[in-house]
Amino acid sequence: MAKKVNILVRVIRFFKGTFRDDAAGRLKRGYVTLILFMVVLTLVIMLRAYIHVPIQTILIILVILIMIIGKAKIQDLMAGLIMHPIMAMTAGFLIAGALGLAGGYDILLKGLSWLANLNVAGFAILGWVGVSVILANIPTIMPMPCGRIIGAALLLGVFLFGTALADSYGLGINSAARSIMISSLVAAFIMSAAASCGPSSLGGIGGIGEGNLGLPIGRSTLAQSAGILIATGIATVIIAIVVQPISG
Amino acid sequence: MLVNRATTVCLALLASLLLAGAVLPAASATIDVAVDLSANVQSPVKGSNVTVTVVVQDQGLLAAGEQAVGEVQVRENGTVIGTAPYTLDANNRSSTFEFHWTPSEKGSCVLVARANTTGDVNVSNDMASLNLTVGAPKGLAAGELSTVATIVGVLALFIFFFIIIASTLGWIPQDRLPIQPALVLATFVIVAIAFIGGTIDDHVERFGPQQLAAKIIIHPISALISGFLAAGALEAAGAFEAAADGLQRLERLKIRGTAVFGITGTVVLLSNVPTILAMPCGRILAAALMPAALFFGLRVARMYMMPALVSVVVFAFIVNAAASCGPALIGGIGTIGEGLAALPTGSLSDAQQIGILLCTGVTALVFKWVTISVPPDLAEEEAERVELERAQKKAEGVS
Repeated sequence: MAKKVNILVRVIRFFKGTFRDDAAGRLKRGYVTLILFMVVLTLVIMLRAYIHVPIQTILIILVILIMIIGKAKIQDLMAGLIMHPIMAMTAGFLIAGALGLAGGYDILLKGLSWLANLNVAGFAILGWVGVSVILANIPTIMPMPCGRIIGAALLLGVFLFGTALADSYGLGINSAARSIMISSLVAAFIMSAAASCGPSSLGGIGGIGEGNLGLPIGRSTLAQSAGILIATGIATVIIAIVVQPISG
Repeated sequence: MLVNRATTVCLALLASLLLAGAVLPAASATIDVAVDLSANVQSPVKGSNVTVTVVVQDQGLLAAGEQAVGEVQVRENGTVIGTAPYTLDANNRSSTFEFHWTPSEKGSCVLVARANTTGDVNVSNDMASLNLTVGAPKGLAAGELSTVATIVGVLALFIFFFIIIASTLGWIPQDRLPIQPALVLATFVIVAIAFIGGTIDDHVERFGPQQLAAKIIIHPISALISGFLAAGALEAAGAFEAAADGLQRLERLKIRGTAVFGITGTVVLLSNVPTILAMPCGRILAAALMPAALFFGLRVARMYMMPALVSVVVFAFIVNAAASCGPALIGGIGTIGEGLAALPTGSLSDAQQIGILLCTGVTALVFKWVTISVPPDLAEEEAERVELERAQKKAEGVS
């Protein structure tokens, strides 16, 4: 009983401490907001079938709550915004739209299909699988400062190639295997694109570490790229064998 | 006299009967011809071949020996597409005609078919119309592109890849023209090329800012912005400082004198925090927790007397942070793919997270065994370590 009362007293003291304006109070508020953020995200993931509110709405409500608990001002919030990925994504979407309207994806699809069917003395040079592997790893081969640039620009092309890949294996439009095959290729490409801002020498995240440690620029590129290539393959295998998502 | 009158009446009756008999075939109520109109496509494109079908049909009033003679005409916005004569009778009550039409202008148009039948008593069903919308020629299915469309597509793709490669290789100086404005510039160049292509060949779609804006998917951008707002609020509330503090407490956590995580466990956890707490951009946690990564990296390096371990810890953390924007539910890149493939939200996240956890380990191993990077500040310590190692090996060899 005494132990329970002791725990309760400590919890009350902790929450009382969050109202203080010193460094200790700020740290405690930080703990509360971090826990709140994690709990809300976990609930969103676990109860996504029952939540019919867009994640944006949930996040905005969460932002308001965190700001109230954390005694944060709008100025603090705006100072924490990073514009770079938003601009990168917008640029990526613009070029994606231009490529789509100018027929770039048709040419990409045509070129990749030609490459997949390329035979020398009866042997396929790359085949459909080889071309898929190269396509999925393009973001890491040509790493951009934000994965959203290539992600947004080429994702539709990857999706179209996924459908062509499924066709080449004779998988019909209603086949579950077709959906899994396309999902695997899309997931692999996304994995590679998302991670590619690490090894990018055009202002990638790796540059932060290299700068902090006083290492030459590009020192971490190869190690990161090796890791990403492995991760891309692993993500594909897990989607294909374990998760197996089916399109809605 | 009476006989003459009766004869006159009879003659008049006979004459009127004869007259009526002569007029009957032309003005008889037995002729009623209707017309029906259809096309083989509902949304034809400019320059395509459209088959227009007209059916002229007697409404069942023609008796044996009677005929309905006329001409059917099809017009598009007043211009005659075709004309055909027809003769219907009791044995052949309908006629079908096919006209071929090539739309020359984009936009809405009206096709009208009119049957002109001699003696038709019901003109309300003599005309039929069809409203169509003529679209721009597409023909963009793979393998069906016209030469000009192919050239435009190849040029668009070439420009995109050229900018990506030239930026990566440094041909385009990033301090003068960063990749984002370069891509926006490329977009306008592609719009111009498509415009020129469109003037040469109708199969090339000319597009402007309006069509481009229609192609932009707002959901990932709004999710990204709200994700950034959440991250900004967390930072402003001191949540990242609390995370670093929590990691240090975790390292010291002991149960009955035994460390639960210890320094190694805490470093593993720290390296994977960005993927566990996946943010819409890896930069958020990379910047916020970098001091903690450096702190723990140095602790590990000093503990094992291996200065290169600081790079192992820092870059394992960085690759994890960089990749973490993939599985992030709050505006991650994965959400674009999930939306495109009509998959449930988060269905690609788990696989990516597992891949990232392994990728973090692989990066650490490559840094430990292949790349081996010692920060200049710790070079002296590393030289001492190597010297000590040599001396130990020498001593072992002697003994």
